[in-house]
Amino acid sequence: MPDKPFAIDLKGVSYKYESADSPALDNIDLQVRQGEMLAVLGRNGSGKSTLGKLFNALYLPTSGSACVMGKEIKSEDDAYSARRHCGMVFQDPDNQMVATIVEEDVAFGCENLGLPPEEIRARVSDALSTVGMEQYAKSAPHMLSGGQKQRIAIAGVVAMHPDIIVFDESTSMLDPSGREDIFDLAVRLNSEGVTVIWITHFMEEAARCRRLVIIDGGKIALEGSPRQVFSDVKRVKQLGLEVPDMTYLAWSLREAGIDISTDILTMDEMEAKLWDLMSGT
Amino acid sequence: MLNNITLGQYFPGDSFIHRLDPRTKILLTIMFLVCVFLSRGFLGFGLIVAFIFLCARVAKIQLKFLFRGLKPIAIIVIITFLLNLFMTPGDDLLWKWGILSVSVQGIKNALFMAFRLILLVTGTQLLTLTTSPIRLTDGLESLFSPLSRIGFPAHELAMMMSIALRFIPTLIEETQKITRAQKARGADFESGSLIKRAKALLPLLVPLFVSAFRRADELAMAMEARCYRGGKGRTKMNPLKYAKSDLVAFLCLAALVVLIVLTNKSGIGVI
Amino acid sequence: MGLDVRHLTYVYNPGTPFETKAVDDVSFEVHDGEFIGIIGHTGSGKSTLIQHFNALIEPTSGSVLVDGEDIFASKSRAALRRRVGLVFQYPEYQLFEETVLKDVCFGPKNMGKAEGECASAAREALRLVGLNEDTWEKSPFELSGGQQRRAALAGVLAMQPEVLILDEPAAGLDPSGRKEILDIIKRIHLKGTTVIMVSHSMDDVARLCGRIIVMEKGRKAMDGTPAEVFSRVEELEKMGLKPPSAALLAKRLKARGTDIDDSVYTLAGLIDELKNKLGGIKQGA
Repeated sequence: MPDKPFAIDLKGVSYKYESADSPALDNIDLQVRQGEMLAVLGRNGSGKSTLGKLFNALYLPTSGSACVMGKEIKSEDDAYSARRHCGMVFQDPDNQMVATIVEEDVAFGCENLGLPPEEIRARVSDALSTVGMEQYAKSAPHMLSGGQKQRIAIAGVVAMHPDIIVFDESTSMLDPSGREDIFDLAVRLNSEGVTVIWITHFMEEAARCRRLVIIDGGKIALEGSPRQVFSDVKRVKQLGLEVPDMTYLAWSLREAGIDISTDILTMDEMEAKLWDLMSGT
Repeated sequence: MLNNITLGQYFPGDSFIHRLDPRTKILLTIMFLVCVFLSRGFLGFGLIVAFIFLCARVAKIQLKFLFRGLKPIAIIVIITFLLNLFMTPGDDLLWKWGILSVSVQGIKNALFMAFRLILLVTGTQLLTLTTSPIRLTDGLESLFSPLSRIGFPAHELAMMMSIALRFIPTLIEETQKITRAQKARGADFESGSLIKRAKALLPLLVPLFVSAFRRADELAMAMEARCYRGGKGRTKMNPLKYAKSDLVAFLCLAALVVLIVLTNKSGIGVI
Repeated sequence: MGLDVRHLTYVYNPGTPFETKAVDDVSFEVHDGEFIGIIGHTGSGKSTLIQHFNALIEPTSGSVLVDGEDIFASKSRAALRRRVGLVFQYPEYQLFEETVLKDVCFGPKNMGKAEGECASAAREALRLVGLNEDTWEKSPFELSGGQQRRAALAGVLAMQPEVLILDEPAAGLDPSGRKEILDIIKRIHLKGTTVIMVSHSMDDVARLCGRIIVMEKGRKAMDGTPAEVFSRVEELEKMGLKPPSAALLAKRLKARGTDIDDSVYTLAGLIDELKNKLGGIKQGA
């Protein structure tokens, strides 16, 4: 199968905040193919959120080139069209809702695109059912739970029919069940063809993406499949992150001289491997 | 805690008046205010009162809600009444003490002015009780939009208003949280002199402002990410549309205006 | 200092259609020096429950006794409140002073301590949370997220509470921030403070706490040692709670018929257990 074209193509991108002495991002090369689900990891202040904002042109690179869906972003107008292609879900569910009624909020993006009213209504009801919130269409946002608010935020992006959705730590303020809900929703959107970029510091989520990059000090520190990346336990820890529990378990056993590979990610794999080892005697 | 908070005084319903276009209701309210000012006597006022009662009936709004809005202006009504009572010069003095005097004309005037104020407020109450803040904002935006050509920020003002409405519950909740957190650190918001109490608010206000600014910042970013570029080229999911009922409502009010003018002409009950 | 919670009930919006029992007849005793974890699904009443412990919320019925004295009935509520420190979720949102040091002094100052005493208590608290002296004169708003969290924690510690209550102290932090804050809490406990921690993370609770209380729909559903609580895997999962991965894996291996000790519930415990069991294999192989 031929490789799909790039959804996002960053070449030598640097970004420096006006007030800062050193760049937040330093010469990043990163390509994301259409339909991919990429995790971006990094400790606080590593530059991962800055990177997220370059994907949909909320920030324009200080140097280097950023292409979204094959088009390089050079001006504010390019930025606007990049945002049509690339939606973004933020961290704090409260701070991304503009309207006092759920459906009005979901409609906000479509209204900005200048779509005709009938089409907006159709898209809004589709988007609400995609995220499973139809029955809350007329509710007030402040009555919803954190996870529900995040779903509304996702519906607002989905209604704009984007090719790419960037989730910028969208689960970090949620409880475990809300977190799982939102991640599952992202996986489902990805399976329906949306390119997903999942910025997080939860290793379990990153482990479920197909590819991951770890950002540190504004540079790409590690890149590869979760299996490749997490098996380098020492390096991951050096970068201020953890590895998934099962990988850590495998690594600890291996350090103790037990014959077990460190590319284990899930409990099922671990269970099978340990069963082999234990029943082998 | 906040489940039962109501924004503004909107009283949800599905009556003829509730369904009217918000622009119609705003314009009708203005016409209503004109009626009140046109009316020169108690017969006119009687008509207006009847009209208010009729509207309340149609909108299924209990009268007590209508009159609740008078509470904040009660003091103004009383002052107006007293000023007119004592300050109106007249020939047929009923009572006099120093510079204070009460004449028949004074009593009439005082009643007239107080009544006028009450009618103004209850009439506008009808608008806010039957129109949700968001529809009201939409209506105002649409009415003022012709002015945007000469630089009046109609859309921006409407957007600010709806965001403010959206964040009121969030900020109330936040205030409660911070109050509790500071109380847990021994803060005392309740006792002491006025100055002391004002000072004690600092640990509450500073975090609240910091948070409000952070929220504003993030919200601006989120709006931009959803392709917001101001009012230009924007459409609406539920655009405002005039319907037949709006015409009916306009005709009703036009009739009221005519009636008021006629009563003035007839001279009955005119002060 | 002991804390005795007796038949505590709290009803939100009583007498309205919105009436909900957030806390429903909860009783338990907290002994001196314990480290208790309170877990439960969102809306299980954990946060409402702990706000009673320093009298921020008045119960609908029931009482909380501190050393035998009812904190709601007592005139010395303020004095009792000081002995129980409460750190809210995202406590960094309470920072307000010009400098970190001044902010941490806020609590002791409210207790009526002299200036010098406040400053020394604040400095001690700041050291305890590992904030270096070069941050003390900075504005709290200049600090990183993790540092702000620690400064806010210091603000409560400076009041030298005998019981420290924390609501989700690690929420929203990155892995190293989480580890830092949890290590600090562990240190505080080792210094003799009684700690009650509300958490969504079963792994954190399993690693740190000597006793776990599980809340469900406002009621106390379980109360016991981590080994006891985490042995009831199915019940926890029914409540929508995910037991620690180590406990789950041990249970699964046991179910397959291995002779693993399935009472382990921490990753470290499981690693030791597996090393024991597999050590022989390695030599045999």
